[in-house]
Amino acid sequence: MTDNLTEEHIARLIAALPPAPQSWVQAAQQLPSARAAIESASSRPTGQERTMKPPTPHDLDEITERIDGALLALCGADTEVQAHRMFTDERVKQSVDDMQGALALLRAPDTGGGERVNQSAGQLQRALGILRDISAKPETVGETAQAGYEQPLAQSIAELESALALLHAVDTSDIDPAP
Amino acid sequence: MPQGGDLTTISDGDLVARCRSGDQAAWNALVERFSRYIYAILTQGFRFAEHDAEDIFQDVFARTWTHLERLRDDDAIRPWLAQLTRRLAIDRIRSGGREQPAEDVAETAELDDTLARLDDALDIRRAMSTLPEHCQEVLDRFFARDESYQTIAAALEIPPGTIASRISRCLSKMKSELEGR
Repeated sequence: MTDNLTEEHIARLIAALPPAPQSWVQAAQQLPSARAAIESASSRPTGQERTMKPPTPHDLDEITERIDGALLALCGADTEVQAHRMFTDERVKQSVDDMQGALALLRAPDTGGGERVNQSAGQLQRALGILRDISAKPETVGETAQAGYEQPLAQSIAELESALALLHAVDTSDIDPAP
Repeated sequence: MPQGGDLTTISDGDLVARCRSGDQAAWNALVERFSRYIYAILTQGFRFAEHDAEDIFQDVFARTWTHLERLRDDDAIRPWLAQLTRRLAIDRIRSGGREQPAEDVAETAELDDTLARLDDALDIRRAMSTLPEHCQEVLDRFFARDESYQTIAAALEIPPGTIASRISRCLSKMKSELEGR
């Protein structure tokens, strides 16, 4: 095709390919980096999803002690009875279940994997969320709660926050995710 | 204008291979190399309005990036891109409810002529890359970008009176280059 072209013909062919708008070209050039950023953001562990380093025995003792404290504040010695006595609210029962579940996970003999730590932290956060919600909206408790629930609720929240802070203190993103 | 480095002159196949290895500079060069061609197919061949053309243009390159791993022949990236652009253009026409049936648009002799002309034009552009930089610049500005003598002279900081003669000399060089192939 390119043989025997006149200069006029060459000029016409050069003119046939004007530049695409620069913004289009730049957008297309940025596709790989944009995709990489999206993939990185979607695969990056955040918050609870981050793998947590299993606590040391010392940390574990302190964390479980805090959770026990949260339960004690909320339920007294008998978690089966007291919680139901003071709070008839189903949400409180749920938070108690979550705390007990977290304790069971943390005290399991093979608590060596970050997975269990992650799971227990998730349960504790859910329990804490419930208690904070009740604390922030006392009107939602209303007549279903016995008088004087504010103090044990606040104490339970404080203990849970403390336990979670300890768990997050051993949270690390510089270790390999649990298999 | 052409980018610096070897990427402007390496073969299509080598460029694709480098893109596949994650070389961002190679991808930039590939987009640069074919952007005019894709743009021209969409706006001259299919006569899309700018906003439609832009969507398809981005789609073409997004799919190209995604399918780099599966290209059977790296050297055939150009016809592959042309075919992909054509297919996406037809899809857009169908989805957009244009009055003229997509098949009619896609099969007209006029479209085929236009696409053949654009292929020739891309060959010419490749040949242009062998010219001295100042020739590439002046020919591109005058013919492809449709800039006036005054604009070119201002951009290149040369007297306006010399532009016409430069264009003429560079066209002659281009012709000689093509004849010498």
